[in-house]
Amino acid sequence: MSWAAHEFENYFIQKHAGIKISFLGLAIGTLSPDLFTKSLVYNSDDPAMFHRGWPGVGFSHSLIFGVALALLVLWATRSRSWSLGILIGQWAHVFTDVADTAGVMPFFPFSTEPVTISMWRHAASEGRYGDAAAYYSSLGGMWDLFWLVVLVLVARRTLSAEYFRTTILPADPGAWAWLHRRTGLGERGLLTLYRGLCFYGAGRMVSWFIYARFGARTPFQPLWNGPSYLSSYNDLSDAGPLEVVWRTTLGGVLFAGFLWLVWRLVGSRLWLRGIDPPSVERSRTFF
Amino acid sequence: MPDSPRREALAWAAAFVAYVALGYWTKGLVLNWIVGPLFPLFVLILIPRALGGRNSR
Repeated sequence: MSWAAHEFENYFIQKHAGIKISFLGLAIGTLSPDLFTKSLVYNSDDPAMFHRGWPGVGFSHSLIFGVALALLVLWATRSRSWSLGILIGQWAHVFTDVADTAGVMPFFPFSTEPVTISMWRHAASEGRYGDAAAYYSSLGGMWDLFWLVVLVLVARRTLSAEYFRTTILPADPGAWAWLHRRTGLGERGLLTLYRGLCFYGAGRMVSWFIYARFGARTPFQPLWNGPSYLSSYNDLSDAGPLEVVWRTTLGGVLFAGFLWLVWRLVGSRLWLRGIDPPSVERSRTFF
Repeated sequence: MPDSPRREALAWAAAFVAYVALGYWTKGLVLNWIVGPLFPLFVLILIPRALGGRNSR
């Protein structure tokens, strides 16, 4: 799992998607795989299996879960920017979590084979604090740092007041206006709320890193498949590389077919009755 | 929140240091997806507004 990369990725995605997606939708989509399951993970008998496997709640880290959420939101709200935001955010979370040893089942239920590049060890079996210490002793912490650097170098403009005013608000005027009415927050308050996710990611990264070094005092081992002081890998599959490739390819083909069918039967109809933010509709009249 | 960009940056930096210190001290109590993203809103906007309102009365 990633502890802060999920927060930083949102701003990078937003920079490229612009007014087509809702940032609030994107943020909820990114959080959705762990939203209601993470607190239960540390209390389960087999945390890795419960979190990412099947049987367990591993389906929350599959692409089909994002499709289902996006369709549900499109049906309920008719908002295309929210639906797209949730889909892209959830998929970004899935692809990011491929990096730890537990991996994800991207093509569940067509393949329950976990896909992983084993960059760092999934350490939920160590408990919440032990998990944090292990993550910030491995390449996981470096992965968070990488995304923070990408955000600063490539997408820092997304944190500016002007970007918030010209892109974030017009992409989702209804939700921000609702927040303004319900909370009484002005533009500064809403901007602070928007920046909050980045603040949270950076703060979480630094706090847990300091905890790993000076609280838990775990050895810093940012090497592939680290940290080596953990005895368990938490790899959920015994299959060899060829078997994983075969099963995942088959699952991917079946998922693509399922996606096409869902689009033809349900998705396209919901999309056609969906509505864009006024700014997107206005821009269409110009081009 | 302060008006000038420099003061605003300083306020964000101070909030960040406070969050990291609180995070290290209390861990899961503030380092979670509810308190974390709302922390700057409370520290930079809502609490100063409430204190300002009380002082002005």
